[in-house]
Parts: sequence; C-alpha cells; structure tokens
Amino acid sequence: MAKMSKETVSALITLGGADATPQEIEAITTLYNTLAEQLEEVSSDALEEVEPHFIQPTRRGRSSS
Amino acid sequence: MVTADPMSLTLAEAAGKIKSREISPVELTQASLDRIDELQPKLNAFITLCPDQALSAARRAERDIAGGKYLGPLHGIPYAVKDIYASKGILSTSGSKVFADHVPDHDSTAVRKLNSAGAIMVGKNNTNEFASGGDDSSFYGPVQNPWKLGYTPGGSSSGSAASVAAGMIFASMGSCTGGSVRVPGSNCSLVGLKPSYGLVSRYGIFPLSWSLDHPGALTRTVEDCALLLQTVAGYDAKDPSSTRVSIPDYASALTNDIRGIRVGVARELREGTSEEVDQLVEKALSVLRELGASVEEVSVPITDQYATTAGNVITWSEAGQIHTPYLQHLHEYSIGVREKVQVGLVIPSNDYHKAQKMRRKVQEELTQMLNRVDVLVGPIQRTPPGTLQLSVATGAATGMAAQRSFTRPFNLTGMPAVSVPCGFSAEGLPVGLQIAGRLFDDSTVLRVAHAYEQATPWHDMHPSIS
Repeated sequence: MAKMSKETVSALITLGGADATPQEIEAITTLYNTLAEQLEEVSSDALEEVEPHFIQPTRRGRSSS
Repeated sequence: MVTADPMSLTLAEAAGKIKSREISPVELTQASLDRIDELQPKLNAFITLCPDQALSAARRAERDIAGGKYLGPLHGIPYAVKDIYASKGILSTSGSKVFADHVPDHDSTAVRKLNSAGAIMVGKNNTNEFASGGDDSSFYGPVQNPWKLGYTPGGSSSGSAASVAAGMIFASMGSCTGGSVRVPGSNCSLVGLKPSYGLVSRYGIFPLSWSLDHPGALTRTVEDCALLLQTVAGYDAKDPSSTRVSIPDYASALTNDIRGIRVGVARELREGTSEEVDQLVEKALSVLRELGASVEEVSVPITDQYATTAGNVITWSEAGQIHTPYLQHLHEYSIGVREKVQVGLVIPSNDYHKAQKMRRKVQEELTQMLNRVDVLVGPIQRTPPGTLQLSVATGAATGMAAQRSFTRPFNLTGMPAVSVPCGFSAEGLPVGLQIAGRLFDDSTVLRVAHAYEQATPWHDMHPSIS
C-alpha cells in the first residue's frame, strides 16, 4: 500500500500496454496515491481473516470470521 | 381512438389502452417518435434512433394483438436502452468514439427479452462514455435535464432518464456500477431501480466493472418498474454471475400496505446532506410513519468508512482489465475515463484484494442491519442536481475519488435499491429517496417505494421543457 513514484507509475502503465503523457503520469500518480492513502486508513489486521468478496453471487449467511 | 397526449400516460396505463384497443401500438410508437423529434434537439437523450424498425415492430404487434396474440403489458410499448446494451443490427457505441461504428450481431439478453415481450425499441440512449460516472462527458455531447436545461440529469444512464422523464418513451434500461440508475432517477424525478446482483442478466452489456455492474430500470412509476423487471429478470447461462432464484410477481406485491415494515435510517448515509434535501427526506420518513412503518435511526460505520475506497479500487482495477483490448485507442477516450483506465493498470493486486475484503465487511454489516430492519431509507444525494460538468483537464478523476456516495454501498453488496421521487428543491429540481433492501428481496423494496409514491404527488408531475 506504499505510495508510488511517477517513474513506477509510468513503468506500470507501459507494462500494461498503454501510453501516457507526462501530465497524465502526474495525474495518475496523484490519483493512485490518493487511493493508497485511503486504503492505508483501513488496518490490514482488521481484515486478516476476511475472505475477499470477488465476483460470485453473494452467498447468504456466510461469515468471514 | 387516439388518446390525447398518449406519451403522458404511464407504461401501465398505456398497456391497458393497448390491451383494450383504445390505442394501437403503431399510434403509440408514432407518438413516441414525434415526441423524440420534438425534444431530441434540446435534450440530446439519444445517440441512435431506429424509427423504421420500430414502426415495423409496432405494425407486427398490432397484427398480433388484433389476431388475439396479446403477449402482456409490454406488448406495443415504446422503450429504449442505454447505448452500452448490444442490439442486433443497430449501432451500439457505448457512448464512445471507439465504438462509433460498432453494429453488434447479437442482442443483449435484456433487449432480447424485451423484444420477445413485444416491446418496441425506438432507439439507443445517450450515456456517459463507457458508462463511467463522475461527470457528464459523452462523446455524443452531454444530456440535458428535462426539468431544467443546463443542469445534469445524472450519470451514467443520463439519456435513459432524460428520455423517460420527458415522455419520449415509457421505460429505459440503464446500468449501475455505483449509482448510475438511482442518481439519474433522482435527478429526473423518476423511479430508478438497481435490482439484486445476479437477478438481471449482464450479457451483451459493455462492462465497466464485472462485479459491480447491475442492469437497471428507469420508469415514471413503481408499477411500471415492476412490469419491466418482471420481463428482464431471470437466470441466464450467458451471464456467469446470473443467479437461479424464483421470480415472484413483482406487480402483485404492490399492495399499498406497509404496516409493520421496519425502516432503518442510517445516519452515515445521510451525513452532509443539504438542509433542503434533508427536509424532503424527513417529510418522506413522516409519510412512511403515517403509512404504518416504524422508523428508527441506525448506524453503519464500516460501510461509511470502507465503501467509497473499496468501490473506487474495484471499479477502476476491473475497468483497467476490461479496457486492455482497446488501449491503442486510449487517446480517443475522454480525460476522466482515460485516467480511470490508466490507474486501473497501476493498482497492485494487493490493493484489489484488500478492497474486496473491505467489500466483504460492508456486505456483512449491511446484511446484519437488514436482519434488524426490512429496508434502509435515505437520500440518494446530498444536494439537488447541479449544472452540467465536463472534465477538460488532467486530474479529473482524483476529485471523484473523494466523493462519498450514498448509493455505492448497495453495488458492493448486490442488494436491491431504488430511487423514488420525494420532492423538488426551491429551484424546481428533483430530489430522490433511496430505499434499499435484502438481497433478492426486490419485492419489498418496490412495495415500500410504491406505497410512498402513491401517498405523494411527485409521480404525477411532468417537466415543462422550454
């Protein structure tokens, strides 16, 4: 959940098969780091035993803990 | 035999007149096309119109009905779908330059079901590009709010909502990843239903986020919404998330009786609401009490803390994958959508899984809450609709990342949620009430919405478009 540098963002976008202008790299870096900050506000310990939801239709009555 | 201004009827009323042969499908379809001709230059609610196919289908419906082959309440009813729904032989652009010439060779399941029920597709509704909300950008130009030109109809099912509110059609199918049916419903004084995840097939609908996308209905009344849902609901092997559940008779659940219904009002899903919207919601809660429901304040702190971040990370991660085949066209995307796709390529799997864990916690909290109450009720948005917003500079998506939404939690959980009109601001702009319920208990959500609707005047009001 660490923040990313512009260089890392640029490399990942290229690896993903896309192009981006320097202005876009700047904007994506800011956007990603905003998301990373928001994720950091949630303690990973609180989620340790939780099974991710994923895509399947919701299973009723199942507890994660 | 022609009813005066047939486009001011509800879908159910028009269906009754078709069945009793007071009006014919051809007359009704022509009235719809005439209304579209009149208002499309002002509202920009459609990307593609198909008048020849529509009139041909209407003539077929007329012959069938005359021959005693009446198929049900959608037979002969003009409708449209958001332009992310595939329609065989009809341009399907997804609101994007990238698919400006795309003509599918198949129908989405919803379109197939509606056409099989005898409904008449008159065109494809304008939409935010690739159904991505946050502003009003469409390659085909922004859609206007029929209640006040220059104001947002809400996105991303903008054209769907504007066209139904303006009486151009009786119903439209939109889609909702975070609020894209309920927000346009609220902004245009319509009923906007996001059904339970898995209830309506996503097959043939261009995805924004596989696990959050829901096909949804926009209509003028709850009864119309129930009739539309009845037609499009049901298992579909072509959609991997489609669920085998029994489909009740949704219209018969609209009894007007909500005595004993337990309404929860989550304080976090009302926080920061403008005084004007809050007063309208408070009045709506009073109506529900008068109808015999019990109303209590409840709290969903995990939902409040987790839903926005989880929703953004999941939506944009999945969007990055979905758009990978089209990355060579990224320069043709609008700025806001391009940034969301680009950040989707950057988000590590660790973040995606954490977001899905947060989603599970939201699901658990709301499931527990909905064991205690029957429905959760609150505002759709904090304020009435604002003026149209178009992203023109880089950094557009960052502002969207911080916006906490009252609608998104129910996309994360898949629970049904509806927007029903609950009044107007001092400026004459519509405000909507959200009613959400247990997974696959869409009937109760519609029952509460219908009882409220019938006790209030909002559904009888129509915009005066000048």
